[in-house]
Amino acid sequence: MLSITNLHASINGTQILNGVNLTVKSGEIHAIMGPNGSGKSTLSHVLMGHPLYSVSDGSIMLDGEEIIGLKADKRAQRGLFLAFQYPKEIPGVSVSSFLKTAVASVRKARGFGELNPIEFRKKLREKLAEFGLKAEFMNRSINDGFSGGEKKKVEILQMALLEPKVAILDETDSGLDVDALRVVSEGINECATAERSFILITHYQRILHYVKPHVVHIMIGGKIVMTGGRELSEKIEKEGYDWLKDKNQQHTV
Amino acid sequence: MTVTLDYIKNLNRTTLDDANSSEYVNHAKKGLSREVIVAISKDKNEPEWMLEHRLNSYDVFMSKAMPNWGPDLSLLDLENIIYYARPGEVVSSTKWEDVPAEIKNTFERLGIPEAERKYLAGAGAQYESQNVYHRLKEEYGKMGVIFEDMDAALQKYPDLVKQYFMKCVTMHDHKFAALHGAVWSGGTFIFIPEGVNVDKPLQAYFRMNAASMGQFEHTLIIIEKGGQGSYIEGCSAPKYENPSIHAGLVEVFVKDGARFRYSSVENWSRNTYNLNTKRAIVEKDGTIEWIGGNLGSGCTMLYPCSILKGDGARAEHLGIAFANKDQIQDTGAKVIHVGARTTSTVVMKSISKAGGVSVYRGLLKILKGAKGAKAQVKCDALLLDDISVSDTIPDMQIAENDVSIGHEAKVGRISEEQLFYLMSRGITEDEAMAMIVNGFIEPIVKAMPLEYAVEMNRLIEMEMESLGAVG
Amino acid sequence: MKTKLIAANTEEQLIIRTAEETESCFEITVGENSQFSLTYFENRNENEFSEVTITITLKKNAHLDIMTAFAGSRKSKLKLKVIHEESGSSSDQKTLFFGDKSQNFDIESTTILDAPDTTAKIIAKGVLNNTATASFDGSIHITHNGKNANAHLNEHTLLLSSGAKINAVPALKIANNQVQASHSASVTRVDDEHLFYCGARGIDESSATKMIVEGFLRELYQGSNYIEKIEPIILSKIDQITNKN
Repeated sequence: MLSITNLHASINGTQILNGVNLTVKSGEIHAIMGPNGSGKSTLSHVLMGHPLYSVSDGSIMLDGEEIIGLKADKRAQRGLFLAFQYPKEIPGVSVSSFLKTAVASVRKARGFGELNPIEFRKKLREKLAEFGLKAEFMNRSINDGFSGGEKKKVEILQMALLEPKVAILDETDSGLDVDALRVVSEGINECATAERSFILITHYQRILHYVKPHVVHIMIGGKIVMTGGRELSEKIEKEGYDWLKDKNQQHTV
Repeated sequence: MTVTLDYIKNLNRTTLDDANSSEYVNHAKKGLSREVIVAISKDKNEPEWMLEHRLNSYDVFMSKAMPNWGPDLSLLDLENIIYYARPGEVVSSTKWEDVPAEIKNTFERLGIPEAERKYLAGAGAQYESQNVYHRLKEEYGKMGVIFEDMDAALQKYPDLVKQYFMKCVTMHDHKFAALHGAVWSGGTFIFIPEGVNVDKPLQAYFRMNAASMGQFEHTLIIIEKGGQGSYIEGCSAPKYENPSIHAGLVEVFVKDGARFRYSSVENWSRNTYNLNTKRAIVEKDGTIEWIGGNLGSGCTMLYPCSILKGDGARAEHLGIAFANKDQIQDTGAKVIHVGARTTSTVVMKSISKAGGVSVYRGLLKILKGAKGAKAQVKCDALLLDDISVSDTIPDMQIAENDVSIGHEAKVGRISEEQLFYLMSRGITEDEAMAMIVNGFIEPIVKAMPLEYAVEMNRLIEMEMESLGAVG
Repeated sequence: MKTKLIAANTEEQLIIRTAEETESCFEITVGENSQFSLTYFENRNENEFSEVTITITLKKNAHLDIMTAFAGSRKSKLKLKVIHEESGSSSDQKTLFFGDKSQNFDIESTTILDAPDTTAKIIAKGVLNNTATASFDGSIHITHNGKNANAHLNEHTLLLSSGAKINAVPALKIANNQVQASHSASVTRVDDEHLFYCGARGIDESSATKMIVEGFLRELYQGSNYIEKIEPIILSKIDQITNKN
């Protein structure tokens, strides 16, 4: 479970998050929608502990423990996952060695035994196939020369292998064609167990047709201004965000 | 794009290569000595400290060796140069009518009065060692802007000049800086006060006339905090057998948050050795932009230098060099990152034709402590035939790891596919090559004020036309 | 001086390990249609100095594969000259330098393409930590005879600490226009965004740095004859560096 209370954060002296409050229980899928510049991506980076952002107030509790002050790797080891909107290319580091190292660190932190390398490669090959990616992807440098769709698929594949408790998906649907979106959504739905929570950050409704959220929040001006059910996302699809411009407080529809 | 300067229509090689009479040099002494220097200083009625500076520079000049790198300077006989010549009894005036007819006509053909009328904030014209015309439009004078020829500035603002003169480039820098310190004459002085934005360009044009001349104009530019301005420098000389030399010096002081653009189109004649020095010191969050075209002289050694002293200082260097038959364009850029978060970009394009040699010589130095520095250098060279030469020699000295540095260079020729495509639309081969060359230099030309962009294109066209069809 | 002639139509390999080699000057001619592969390891002791000159001349259609790797010795200097003397000759040149503490590498690499239809591909990658310094002067000369030459030089340096220094002068001297020639050089550090991405996958900074440095250098020896020889040296040096940090 992830509990965010009164979160304030800034970058380069500019305040972006102005008191975000959000609780996501195990098994729940929350969607956060909002216009450009509302702070959605900032929220995802602050939750993951990006060094350029400073938190000035508030708390982030993962399973009852405060994670503000922890570096990104520690947060990941505790079960937090971020699927990046713009995944980084790291030339020379292959997908397989990158993931092997990641999975090994996370398993170690959780007290699981060592990873069997042969089994890992087998699992990786299976997952690649599930996502419609050729086996040779294993040996390519991570994200280097990958198309937009390939990058997003690999992000979700990573999530499937790392088995997080809370997964934040930052605009995973942006830049995807219908087929890629379907494959990625299937991957997400397969991982949506009773023990896992999701935060889907999205500007558009599209992905919410495939991955059905339990709760929908609207974020404007660095805080959540409205919370509701799926009908809220349908309203956004029909009317956009203009009607919300005056809303500054949290409402429940 | 409409031609807004009429003079360009008539611009051709003779405009640049024709000389006026020059009896005034009949009695001029060739060669350099302490006596020549004392005479220059006396003629200008200079303060004592300036004469002392000249004589010290002369001593340094005599003690330094010629550079042991770069183009061959052995044919430049420094004893056979006229270091100072006033074109008769001419004084600097603020009205074109007062300028002697022959000199005025030269500048008319070069489009200076026309440009001044149409879009400059101020203009200056130097003929040989003497400034003949200098005028700043009244509105800028009222804002406290100073735009004077250097000799006049030394008289009117001696303390201000003394504070900055040859502090950016000192006499000890190299042999030709020392030479300059000894015999400098004329040039431009610009002072932009705090927060003032001079929105129209200031221009100066330097013209050599007699044979075996040396021109040593000094340009000193000071932009106070938050000030903004731009300057265009043009130059040319008639063509002779014997060498001429241009060893001018440009010093620019960009203070906190100020911004300055220095554009120059250099078009000296083939017999000129252009050994110019240009340097800017940029303070916190200041910006310097160097935009240059090097076309004319037989041998050029020119490496504008930006010292990014303050945090957040920025430099942009854009340049075109055209090396035609018997020319060596040895040009480049030097950028030194001292402060943190400083950024620089260098884009250089060169064209070599008919055996011309173009060299890019650059220095990128990141000092320890210049954290967050970012620098990009891009050099492209076009060789128009198989006898021309291009060298790219960038020197990168990086002593700080929190940086992002990139350099790339490409050398090649005009692609056959591009030529074929243009010709298949009915365009002649010569026209097609000219179009492609224009496209090649476009990123730099478009950074120039529109009128100069047009001039630049015309000058390149003239270089392409010369010596007949391209091989 | 050691001279060597690789006869026409043959294949040969040579490995020079400076710790075991006494000769400091090599002149090698690669005969027509021959293939020559040279591996040069700078693996002297930390306190030692070394200076080597290697000149290789390539005859018609000869091919050179050369890998120079610098990891050892306190101060080492290499002057390498590859001359494409006859048409059709080609070279694949790789240089790797990895400095720690106060090591210094002085590498001068000159490739001359003096005949038609020649190809040269030069890649240099370096990692410098602590107060290690390196100077890499890599030049490509295409003479007037070098019609249809295809020559490219790429040099990239990763500086791991603020005390490390690199002087790089990649030069292009071209006197024939029917060529394709380029060079590029870059200097960077381990990107914070890369560290964050790795961190977001549970990988701590030290492991991430290890992975990134190894990935950076791997391009040079991956899939080549040198991999078993070079990889262990690189991996153990990376370990040394990242375990200290």
